[in-house]
Amino acid sequence: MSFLGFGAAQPKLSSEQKIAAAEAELDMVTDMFNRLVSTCHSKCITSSSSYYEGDINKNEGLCIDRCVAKYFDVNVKVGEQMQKLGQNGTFMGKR
Amino acid sequence: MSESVKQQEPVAEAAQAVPKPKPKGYTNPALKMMGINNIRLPSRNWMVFWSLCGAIGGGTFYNYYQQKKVREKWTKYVKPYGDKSFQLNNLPRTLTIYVAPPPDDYLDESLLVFRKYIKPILNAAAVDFILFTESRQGEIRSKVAQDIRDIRKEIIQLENDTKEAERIREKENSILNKPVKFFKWLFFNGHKKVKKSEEEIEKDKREEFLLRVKDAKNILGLYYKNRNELINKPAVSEDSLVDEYEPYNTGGVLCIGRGAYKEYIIGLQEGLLGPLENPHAEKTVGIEDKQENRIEEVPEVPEVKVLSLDDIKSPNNVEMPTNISEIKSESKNDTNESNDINNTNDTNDTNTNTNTNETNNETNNETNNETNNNNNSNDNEKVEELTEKQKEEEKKKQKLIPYITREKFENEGEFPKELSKYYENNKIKKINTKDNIPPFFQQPVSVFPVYNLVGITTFPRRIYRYYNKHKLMDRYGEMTAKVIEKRIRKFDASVDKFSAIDEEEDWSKRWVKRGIENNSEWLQDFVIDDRVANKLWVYDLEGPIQESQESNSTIADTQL
Repeated sequence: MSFLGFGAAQPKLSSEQKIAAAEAELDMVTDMFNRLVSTCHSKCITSSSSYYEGDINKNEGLCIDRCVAKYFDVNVKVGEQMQKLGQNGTFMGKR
Repeated sequence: MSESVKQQEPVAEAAQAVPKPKPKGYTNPALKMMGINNIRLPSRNWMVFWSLCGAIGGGTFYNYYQQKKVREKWTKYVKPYGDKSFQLNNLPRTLTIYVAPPPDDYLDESLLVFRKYIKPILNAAAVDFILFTESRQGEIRSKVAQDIRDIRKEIIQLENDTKEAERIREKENSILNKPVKFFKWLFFNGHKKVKKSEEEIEKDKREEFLLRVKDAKNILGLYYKNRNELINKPAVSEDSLVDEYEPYNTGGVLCIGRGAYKEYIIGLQEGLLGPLENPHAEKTVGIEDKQENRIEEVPEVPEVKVLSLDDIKSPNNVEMPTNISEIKSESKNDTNESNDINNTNDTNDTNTNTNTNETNNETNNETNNETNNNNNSNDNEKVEELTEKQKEEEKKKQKLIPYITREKFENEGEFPKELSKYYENNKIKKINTKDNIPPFFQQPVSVFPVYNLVGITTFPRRIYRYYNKHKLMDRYGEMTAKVIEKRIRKFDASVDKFSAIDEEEDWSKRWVKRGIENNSEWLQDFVIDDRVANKLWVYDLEGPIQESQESNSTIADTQL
């Protein structure tokens, strides 16, 4: 902790590091989005109809709704759990 | 068996005396050349063994094969509903499903009925659902009642809001207000008439451009060209598009198990005919209001779990029916206790007491031996856990106390004013809510029985049912298809009192006896008040389904 400039100062991020962090973040989000799209597409659309109709039908629509909702939900949950682990400094019960 | 054994005894002795030659069986030089000496039937014991294995295994296999076929049959039957085209902003029809565990068994049994027999067909028809489960009797009832009360409050709120808005509009439009408006307009816009220099105009344009670019959706990507389709369209539920005078022609409520149905009907009456605010809360909490315990004591919505789409598999304990009179006496005790607290002016409740004890122990810990201290604190923790558990238990029981009991529906129950205007002239009008979907109590109800036998004496019947599951499955499939087809009719108390009553034959006698002793909700009379009954619609699950084949196509043709 620093008190009036004394003590060990917290490591300050340079602008380059900030940009790198932002890029990593963006990469992660894009990656998740791509995975989501491809998973839900293969699950809901390619398997059931193989494009004999232009519009999506009700079954596919419902499937996509559920798929996306679930994917996001799980993603958030896993993220939270990982963050918790990171804070504790433990992983799979090991330190 | 014993006779045959007796008969065989002399034969066996003879065999011991003179070793019996093995039967030769069938043989052939060609087979011999291939290394197969004799083909003969196996011994009697092996024959018995194999035929038994074959019978059990074959029966099982046949059953599963038939189940698969039945499932395919019904999923194919309802598939036209799932194949309708679907707009991106549409939400499909949603069923509300209440699942109660069968008597003396786990919730899993009822969930299995849903998961194996009903869900595949719902999925094929692209019908969404919300699942509510209970782990003890009364939870569905109080959940239903609480939901209805919430909806009623929402309706009152909405009405007040619209009235308020109308009043404001009238005020604004009145003649007196017009000159004021004009001056206001002058005040805010008068200065704008000054001509701008070119620089300023350019600056404005730049700002406008930057504002537009700020959100990438405005200049590129998926949203750029499909703006109207993707962003400006709010999600519309299929249920909200129903005819205003036919709110019962959409959605739907499924009760899995006769008990769930009974609880649903009672909960419906409790919610509709009962008071909006908890009468018990006023009595018990009224005194405590001055203290700070109020938040803890106010009964809230019971914790009815909402399961996700693929149901949770953990078994939930089925608990014995809660004794209503017992709960009442307990609540009385609570009031007594609170009175005592008031009298002595003691602000510490039990919780704080235990806490102080713990802190005392902790201070002791620092001075004493470590081992002893650990034991002490552990014991303390255990005691605390126990009391907390008991408290939670009591809280849960408190939550299940009905706002109005079934004996009082007829005399004290009152159909709410805010709803009665939707039921004028023998017509049912859709109740306006925020999401525009008719509330679940306007949607039709259906019951799916859960046939579940418990105990050893029922084993023969259970074996019989095990091998005939595909027939049951066919029945469930037909019922689900009827629900999907929206085959509805008005509630008829003389018939619908007894829907799924054959399930009650499966309830074990011991459980029934215990239930009657404990005042179980499932075993009391089926009460339904006329004021509720004549507004209720049900699914017509009797009768053959093939008749509706034509109407099926007509329904399928009409688009959203």
